[in-house]
Amino acid sequence: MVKPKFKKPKSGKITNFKKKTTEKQVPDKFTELASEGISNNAAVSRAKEIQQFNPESAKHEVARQKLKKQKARLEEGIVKTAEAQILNVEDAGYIKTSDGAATYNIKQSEIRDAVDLATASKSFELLLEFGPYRFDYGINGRDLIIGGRRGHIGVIDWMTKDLVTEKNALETVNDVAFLHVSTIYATAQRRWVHIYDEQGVEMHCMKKFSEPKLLEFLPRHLLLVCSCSTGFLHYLDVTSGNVVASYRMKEEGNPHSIARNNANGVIISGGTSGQVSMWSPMVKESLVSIKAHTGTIRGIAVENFGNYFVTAGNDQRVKLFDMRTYKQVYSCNMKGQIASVSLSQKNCLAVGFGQHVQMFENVIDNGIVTPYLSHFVGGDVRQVQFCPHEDILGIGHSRGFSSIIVPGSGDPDIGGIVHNPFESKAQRREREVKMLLDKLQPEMIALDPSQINRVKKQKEMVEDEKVPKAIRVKPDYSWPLLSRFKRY
Amino acid sequence: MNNLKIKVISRNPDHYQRETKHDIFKAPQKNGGNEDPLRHAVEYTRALNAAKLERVFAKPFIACFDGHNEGVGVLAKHPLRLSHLLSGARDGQVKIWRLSNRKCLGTIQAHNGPVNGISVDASVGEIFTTIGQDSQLKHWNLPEEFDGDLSEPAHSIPLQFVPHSISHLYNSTDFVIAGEGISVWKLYRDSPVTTYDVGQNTVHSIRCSPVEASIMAGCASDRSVFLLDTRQKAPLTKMVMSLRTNNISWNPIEAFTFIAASDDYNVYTFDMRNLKSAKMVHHGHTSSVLDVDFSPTGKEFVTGSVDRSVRIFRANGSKSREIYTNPRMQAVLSVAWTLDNKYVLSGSNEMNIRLWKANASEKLGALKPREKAALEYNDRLKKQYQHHPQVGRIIKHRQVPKAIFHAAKEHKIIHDKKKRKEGNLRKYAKPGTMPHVSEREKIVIGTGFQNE
Repeated sequence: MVKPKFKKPKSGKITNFKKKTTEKQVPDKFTELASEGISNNAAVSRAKEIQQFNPESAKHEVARQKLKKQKARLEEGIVKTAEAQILNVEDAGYIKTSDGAATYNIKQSEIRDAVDLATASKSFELLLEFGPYRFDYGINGRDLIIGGRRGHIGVIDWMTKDLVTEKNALETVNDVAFLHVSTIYATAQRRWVHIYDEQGVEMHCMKKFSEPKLLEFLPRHLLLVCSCSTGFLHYLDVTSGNVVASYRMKEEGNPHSIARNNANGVIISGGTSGQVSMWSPMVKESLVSIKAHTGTIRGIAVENFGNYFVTAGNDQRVKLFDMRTYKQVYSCNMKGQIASVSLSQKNCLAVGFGQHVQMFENVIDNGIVTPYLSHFVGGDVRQVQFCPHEDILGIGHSRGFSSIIVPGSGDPDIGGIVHNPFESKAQRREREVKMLLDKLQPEMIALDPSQINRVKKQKEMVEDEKVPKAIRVKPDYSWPLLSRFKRY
Repeated sequence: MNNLKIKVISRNPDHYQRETKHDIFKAPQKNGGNEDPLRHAVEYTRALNAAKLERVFAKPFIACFDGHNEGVGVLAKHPLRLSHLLSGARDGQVKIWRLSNRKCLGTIQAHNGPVNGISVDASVGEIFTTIGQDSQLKHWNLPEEFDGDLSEPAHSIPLQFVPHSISHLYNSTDFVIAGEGISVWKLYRDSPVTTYDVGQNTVHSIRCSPVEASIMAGCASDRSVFLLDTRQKAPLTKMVMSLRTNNISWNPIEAFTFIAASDDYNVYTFDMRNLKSAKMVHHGHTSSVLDVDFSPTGKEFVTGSVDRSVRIFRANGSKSREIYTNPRMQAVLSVAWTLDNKYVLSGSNEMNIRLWKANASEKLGALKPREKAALEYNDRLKKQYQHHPQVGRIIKHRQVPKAIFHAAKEHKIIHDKKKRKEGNLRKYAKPGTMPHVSEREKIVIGTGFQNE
């Protein structure tokens, strides 16, 4: 029988001995969790947070008792959640070589031979002649839409290779994106943004968005974001059809890449100026602006929980930034002009440059040093993107679309309601209704999404009537500068 | 290389899809993972939606019972039968209603003048007693299986005075009548067992405590509220206010608390043990409050007033939680809260009794477990976010008729003016000459009897 330990309260007094028999084992495991060093584990970080919750700070005895009970309940909940991880059935992927040999020589054909037939069929290639392809995976990771520059648009279920719809738009298609369900998709064509049905019937044509180049969909806010070569950024609310915001991105000029931050809904964009800026629909100026590269920003990718982001520029560098301090953490040189970057749920980085794609495992801990895998694509890479919850990387290139297996990149545990690749039609309809009910208003998009729950203390209310200033981060001058990039 | 171990995520669709269409869908779960970074915004959105939906579904009016030919002055609940209601009108008619199918079971022409009180005993419940302005006290049979034949009372007693109120003692067939003085009677006896003298003024309301078997509280027309004990020979204590109290109700759970509905538009909660100050002042009505009734949980009460509204208050809140009005409802003379805690009844001057839901947006009937869980989640969200400005303003807002709105505004101006004037007087008076007297103490002018 393990004797329950006492945590001495701050006042130094020993707590009531009568309570000895009713105390459970909970405090033990909880303090163990709270003192662990790993900060990535959800249970550990929550345990640390709860430790700072001090019931003694309440002024009234009744309130103190209530808060103590609440704290005990929360602690028990954290321990139970941590223990519940055993219930997750799927395991993450990996590659294990004999005596730790390098993995970057392993080809896709070897991987296909080493896994079962169903998984091997996930690695495939579509050879099409309609120009460099851009693509998008649906919100449940099951549907894939590909759009070639010469106008070819196709929607397929990539696991079963069923064709849903295919058409040719007869004009340049710059980007494609699914909306909240894979039965509706939007394409950025030469002049305007068009929205199509699953049968290929055009439903809407957004003539207000002229010369669109890139599309991004915010699934929690149900906003379609479109960036144009004129430097404008448009936010379209797909539930009501009204344009929430439309403004010119001052620092960008022509943005070459945009990415969404899943943790708070801001859009990160980068263009010819080498500045990475963060945008919210309510503020016409950038929230944060970081001078990241000396050349054009070619690719941006954001970590799943919004703590880090990766940028790639024309100066052949790929950099990892910390979202909290906006400072560069890692940097790496690539040989070749970088076309696109993507971060997977397990922090595996894929960089597409020239006709190659290189994958780096767990970049946050290891840095961008030695590649994990390397793949030679037949054509010039246009876009790389990891499929959510699968160990698959999709590559859109000038000769079509490829899907390659990257073991260990996807998160094996599916969080039910939003990401369910096996959803049936009824489940999809339920999901659609639930998404609409939980739709977040665009006014809530801010750098810190938990602001809405904060209670302002009296002092804060007096001081802070000023608008928070935008954050401008200057470059670190100790970067080695190449002479031809000196001008900024 | 042969010694290459590769594992890739491969999911068996059978684990994620249901087998037959009669099964429920499988929802994969992520156990012990990171929390959703947008959970604060999602929860706020859900709380806002919950508040809005509550207002959408807030349809409290259920039914109107008409049939009386005069204003309904008295409503009496049957303590042992949930769906029986007795109502007495100002023309002497007493009607017995079955609330479950909203039918009138029978009508009795009980008295020649207004029915002043009806009471059913809580021990057996087969006989109910009525008193009328014609100084008659009548006992009537009320069998379980009602066949509608009730033209003759079981027993009739002429009294020497005009009785104004009747109440049965807790768990017994004895009852108390108040008119001139207070008398305790036994069933079928022709004269009272004991009488109490509380002065020359008419006592127009008496209520027996449902917890303490021998305590009673009543109000007299000299603006007083007094307490009696059947074990004593003299009244216990008395308290005088500045305006008359119309009615009293005892808290069925807390033995020592009662509420008094007063002519100065407020309802006061008193602790029986200390009548020098009220425990709580409940304001909201814009005219005299005529009747008040506690809910069986003792946490809320309903009031009816001359300003044509029925308000529901929380026992520990000074502002009303709900206000129910109807364009056709005139002054509310009597209210009752049914014993299953779900409905509120109001009898009004225009001969109608109305049945309302106690929780306006409650879904009646059996709820499926998921429905119930969703409603409970919404309730918790509303409770958590009630102080958030955007959510709170939706939760608190009620649309009131123009007359009440303007009257309330005017009363607020008067109230603010009084406070401001008092503050100014205190500011310029000699320090210490004008002590702060709390609102709760101010209303009690005096306590105790003259000879004490």
